[in-house]
Amino acid sequence: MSSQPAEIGRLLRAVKDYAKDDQSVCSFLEAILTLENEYLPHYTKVYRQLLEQHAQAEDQR
Amino acid sequence: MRIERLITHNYRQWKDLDLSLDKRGDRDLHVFVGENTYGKTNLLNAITYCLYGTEFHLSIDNGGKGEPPLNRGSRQALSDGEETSLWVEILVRGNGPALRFRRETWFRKHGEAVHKQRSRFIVTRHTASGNAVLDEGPGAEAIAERFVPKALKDFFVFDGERLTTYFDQAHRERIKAEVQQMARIDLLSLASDHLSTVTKTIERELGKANPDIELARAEKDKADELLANCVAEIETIQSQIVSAESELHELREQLKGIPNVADLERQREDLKKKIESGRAELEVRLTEKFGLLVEQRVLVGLGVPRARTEKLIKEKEDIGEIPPSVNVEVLDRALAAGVCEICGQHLSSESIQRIKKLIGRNSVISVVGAQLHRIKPSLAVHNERLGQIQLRLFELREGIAQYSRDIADAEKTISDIDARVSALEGMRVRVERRDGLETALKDNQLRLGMALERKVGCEARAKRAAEAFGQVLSTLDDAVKLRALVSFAARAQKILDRIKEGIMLEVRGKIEKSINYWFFKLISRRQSYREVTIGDDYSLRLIGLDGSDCLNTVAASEKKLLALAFTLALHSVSGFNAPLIIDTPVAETSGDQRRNFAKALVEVSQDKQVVLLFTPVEYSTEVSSEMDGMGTKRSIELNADEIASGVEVLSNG
Repeated sequence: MSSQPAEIGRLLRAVKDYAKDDQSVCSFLEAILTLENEYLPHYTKVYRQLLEQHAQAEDQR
Repeated sequence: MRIERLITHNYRQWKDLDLSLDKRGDRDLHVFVGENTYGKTNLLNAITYCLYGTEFHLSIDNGGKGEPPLNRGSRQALSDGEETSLWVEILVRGNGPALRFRRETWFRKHGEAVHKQRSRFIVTRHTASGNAVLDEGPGAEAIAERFVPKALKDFFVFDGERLTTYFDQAHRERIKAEVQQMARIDLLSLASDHLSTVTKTIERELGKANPDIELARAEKDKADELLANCVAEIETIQSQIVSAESELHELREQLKGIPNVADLERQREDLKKKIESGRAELEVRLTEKFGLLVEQRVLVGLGVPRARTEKLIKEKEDIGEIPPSVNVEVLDRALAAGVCEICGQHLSSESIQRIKKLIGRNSVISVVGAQLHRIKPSLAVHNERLGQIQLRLFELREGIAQYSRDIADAEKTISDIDARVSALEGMRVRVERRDGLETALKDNQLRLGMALERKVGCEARAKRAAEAFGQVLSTLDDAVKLRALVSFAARAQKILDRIKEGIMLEVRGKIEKSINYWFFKLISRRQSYREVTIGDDYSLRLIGLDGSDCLNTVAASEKKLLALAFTLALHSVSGFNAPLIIDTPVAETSGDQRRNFAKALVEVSQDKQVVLLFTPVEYSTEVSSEMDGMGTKRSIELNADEIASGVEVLSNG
């Protein structure tokens, strides 16, 4: 079984389509959707970390 | 993905089952035929029990009374304090390495009862290099979710009965929810919710740094909350309207042709009045009839003397005695006066002698003749009266019969009404429910209009608050990092919302296309309908040739086909290539529709594994003519002790 089932693949493709002009948001959403699919229990903390990481990366660019 | 093997031990009737579902030829079709109670439904239950730890298809007769799923024989064989286990294993394979799902549950006997001790769910992944990786707990459950998500299981493993009632309930909400599930919008919604929680935490942190920000944030939160409440209220009202409309439709269908009790009672009163006036008319006619019968009897009693008199008159008329030729009275007067009354001359003695002679001869005859002559018209009147009486009696008899019939009919109708009214006592509750729903529906429509108006105000306030918050935020030199996070999260939220809308639209369109393909393949009356549409409000419509929606008037069997078409459409759009397993798939269909049903499922088996469980009656000629030779057919047998079932392969396609 692939680590990314079909529906996640489709959601990720949709993210790329809709956020194509916003690369930072695109990679952030890809990351959180992959995490959601893994049913992470501590989502708030992980979200915060991811958000900070991506916003920071954007600042640096 | 397909199920290659199903192994059970001590699971309900399936004490020891090792079932290989090998694909034969280009179709992946597996037909099981078995009587009710032989264990068909428990094959479905074994699958959901293994994957989710729950049996979804329990009836009262099928373990629904709360007995543990442990095989009855194994349960009985346990001694007090002894432990045993049941397990179900499913071997699944797609293009990649195989997966083995195994759920084992241990039971211990205490006295007469058997109690569950513990359960273990393991997934073994066989990698390409031949290694086996074990997953347990949430990890194993996540893998089961990827095979068939629990939320979608009803589209993959279900009872055919589900299709019969599919569109009976409020289907708009259901379709919307199911399209959302299929589109996996839930993942986006989860992400959106979590992102919103994180953003609010960051905003609160910002508020702590500056009172102006805190003020603007509080207003923004308040405005957002009001808007969310308003939206939730609108959704609740809309949902109440949808379910009221659906229940109303159902009640109106049930009450169609059944007048309400008040109408029946009014009808009963009218009939009673009709009976009373009918009885009065009848009485008048019976009295008249009695009088006429008495008169008729008298007239008939006089019939013989009257006939004799008429005969006598006729005889006397024939011989010229009637009317009499000599008027004796005139002659008597002439003799007394001695003068002829006709010529006025004095009578000679010779004339007097001749007159006396004539009187002597004619006196008797003339008196009788004159009397007979006088009564002749009366005799004719009697005859005429008798004729009139007979005619009137005939009319009266007709009238009496008609009134008697009318009264009897009215009495029968009253008795029918009484029977219906007493049977309608149950209907009275429905009538009251219908009336109540109609009132509630009107109220809700009014409330909806007001809530929609309020929403416009809330949206404007939320927009103003968000702008004000943004403005205050832009003036803040400190907390640049937090500000960047809020702005970044807002952008991400916007994109998530756009993706949700876009995917829903796309999935809805795909489902609509697919449902049309399957529906027109399944139905026999293809010319009766134009298309199936899913509207912006997710209401499913079956459009007839005249452009009207026929969903509520279509026959139950065609509605079932529409539900199957919808299920197959959801399958093709879902992206999950999981098997389709249906218990009693063709119940309540017959003839061509049953054949089309079978044909469609054979077609589906070209793309995915299809497992169908039939009773021998359901596996009728229409089904067997389409399915025999197309896959593997097996029969399900129950052992003589009725505690273990077995499977025997009947034919391989």
